Amino acid sequence: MRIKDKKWVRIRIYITGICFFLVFCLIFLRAYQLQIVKGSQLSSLAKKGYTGKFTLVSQRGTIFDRNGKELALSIEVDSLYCYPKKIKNKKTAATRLARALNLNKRDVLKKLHSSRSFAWIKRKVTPEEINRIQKLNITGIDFTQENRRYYPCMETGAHVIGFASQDNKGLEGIELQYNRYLEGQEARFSRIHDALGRPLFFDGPRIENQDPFNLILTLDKDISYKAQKALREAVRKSRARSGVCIVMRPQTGEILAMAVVPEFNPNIFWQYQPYEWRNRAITDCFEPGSTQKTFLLAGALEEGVISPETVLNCEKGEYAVGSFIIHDSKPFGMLKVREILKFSSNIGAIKIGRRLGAERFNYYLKRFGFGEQTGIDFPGERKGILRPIRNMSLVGKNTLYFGQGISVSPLQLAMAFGAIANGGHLMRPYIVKSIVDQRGEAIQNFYPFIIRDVISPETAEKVRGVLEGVVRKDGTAPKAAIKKYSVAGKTGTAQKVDPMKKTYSNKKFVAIFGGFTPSDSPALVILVALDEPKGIPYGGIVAAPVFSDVGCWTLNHLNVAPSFPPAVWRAGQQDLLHPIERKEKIEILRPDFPGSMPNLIGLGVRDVLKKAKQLGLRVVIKGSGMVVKQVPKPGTPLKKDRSLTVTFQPPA
Amino acid sequence: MNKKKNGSIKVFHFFAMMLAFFLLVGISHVWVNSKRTQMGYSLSQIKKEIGQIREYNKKLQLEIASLKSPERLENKAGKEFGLRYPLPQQIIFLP
Repeated sequence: MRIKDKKWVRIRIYITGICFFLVFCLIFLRAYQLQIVKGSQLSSLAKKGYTGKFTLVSQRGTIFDRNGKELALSIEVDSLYCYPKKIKNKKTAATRLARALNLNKRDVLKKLHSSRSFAWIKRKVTPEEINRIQKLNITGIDFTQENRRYYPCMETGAHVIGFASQDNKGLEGIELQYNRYLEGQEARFSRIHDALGRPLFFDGPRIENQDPFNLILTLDKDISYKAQKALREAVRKSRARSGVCIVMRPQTGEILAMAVVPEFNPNIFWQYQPYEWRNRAITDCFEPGSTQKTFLLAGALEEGVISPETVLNCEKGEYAVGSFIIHDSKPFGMLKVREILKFSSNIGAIKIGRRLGAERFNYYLKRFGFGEQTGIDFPGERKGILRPIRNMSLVGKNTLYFGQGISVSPLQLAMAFGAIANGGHLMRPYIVKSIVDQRGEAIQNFYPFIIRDVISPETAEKVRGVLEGVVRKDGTAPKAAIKKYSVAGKTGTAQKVDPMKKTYSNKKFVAIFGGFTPSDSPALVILVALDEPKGIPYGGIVAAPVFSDVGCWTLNHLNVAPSFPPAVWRAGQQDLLHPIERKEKIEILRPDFPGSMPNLIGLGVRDVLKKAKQLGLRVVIKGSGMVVKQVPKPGTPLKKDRSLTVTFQPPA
Repeated sequence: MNKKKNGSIKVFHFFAMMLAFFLLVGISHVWVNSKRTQMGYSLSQIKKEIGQIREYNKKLQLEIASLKSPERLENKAGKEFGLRYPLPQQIIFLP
């Protein structure tokens, strides 16, 4: 090779080398530009291309009754929407859509002509409608999933459960009160998808507490149904304006049923008027009428100013108070206190009241919870009116003894009867038993709570005895009697105030019956009130049968043993005798609530140890079998040393 | 001369092995990625199915609850099967 050629080769190598170097420099610069200068901007642009945001609509929590039956639940349904600008032939599309969805063609066309970029056509469509729409193949319409709330029991318990809006917001009742637990949160996810938009997998942290909570109520679906049915029938028969029936457990304050008429179906709540949605058991107040005499008796017995056998003069049915004459429905002469309640003598009530004194009576009314909210976990509770005695005239003070000049809610009245049934404890009523998460674990439990002790157990026992007389054949409410079971209760027929005349009306009444059964060991408190019944307005005639009907059915449903042996009720002597002594009385004890010793009687070793562990108690176990004795007693506040001695005995 | 040849063969072997190694790493990377994508697809498919089954389950729950509504049961028991509530004397309590 000549030297010249060799040089040329070298030059070529250099040129190639320089070219490579320049190209690499260029590549490096470009890489620098892409990775460093525009790096973050471009990577976010790329991410946008392959990730998409998607929203998971939260489902509303389920509401169960005390036995785990569904009262309200949400399921996903499709809703149809459109992009009006993308629809070409709007007239034809509207005609076809209206036909498929059973809508008005003009309304659909209006939506398709909307100036907005998005419009709902129909929300929450049925699967059949979806099929029909898909067959139409119209561009510019699409489906999205939404939740729809269903109430399978329809009218049963509707006033308690309330309802939720299409947008998952509670509007009435428990749905409103516990909305923040039920609604959950909308969760936003980012999702990687391929070029065709198919999702690859979910990415991004799941938002905590996204799942809604479920509620377990104290309501019993079957008892609620029975109460609703019996009340509906009574309102229809008596042509009353409205009615209320409350069924409650006196030992705990748990509401088992709260029926209200006029009723509504929460699945189609928008078809009803707001006055039909109202839970009258909590939001409406009326004068308690003669039912008030129960609390007068309780106060007077507690103060020791009378006994059930004290004889008082009922003045032959006419008695002057100031310039007014007070009448009884029948003229009575000398009556025992027991009989005053049995025959519901107003004059007798005044005589008892005078012995007690208006101030003391007012004090007892307050103790029974009148004039203050019961504290139930329900929106819109009213507290009624209880005026101070010093603002009352002489007539006002005297008529207060038989239930005029005071207004109470049906729930207040039921709770006050509960206090007599359970031995003198005024309980706080409650509807929600526990809030549970999706795995069924309780995040919050609600316990019975004693607001205060109103009267002594001995006084309560005496009042119970007197109230048993009311349902006897010669009392004011024989229709409230339940075959086989002992019943104690009181009727009330309260005159309503005529707002035009500002006096008591002679045509408008509230018929009330409140009581409990079995009176020897109360399992249920039932309060029935009918507003403005036509015809005979007496509580003992129109309200008492509802008590009897609901009470009889519920006692059987709850397997409560009868109060009388078969021979007694078969012979029709139930009225003449006292109930048999129950072997297993329902213990009226301070129920379990935080900070107090729970009731362990009847439990096995395992359950005792479990409860003791939860409360951090040191347990001393004596014997084996079931708990027959415990020290400290149930309801005692937990002390610092937290020791507990439990005696077991094998079951007989 | 021989020494030089032996040296270049060693270098060639070294580069060949490196190439093979990188090839292997590259292929495994691609394989893992494709497997990941595949699993991603099936995962999202399964998730979708779980959601659908859950939803179906809820719908069935609703159907059960509606079918078991006391009103419907009472009507069916009374009208279809001629059942009625027992009279007080027909209820026997066992001690």
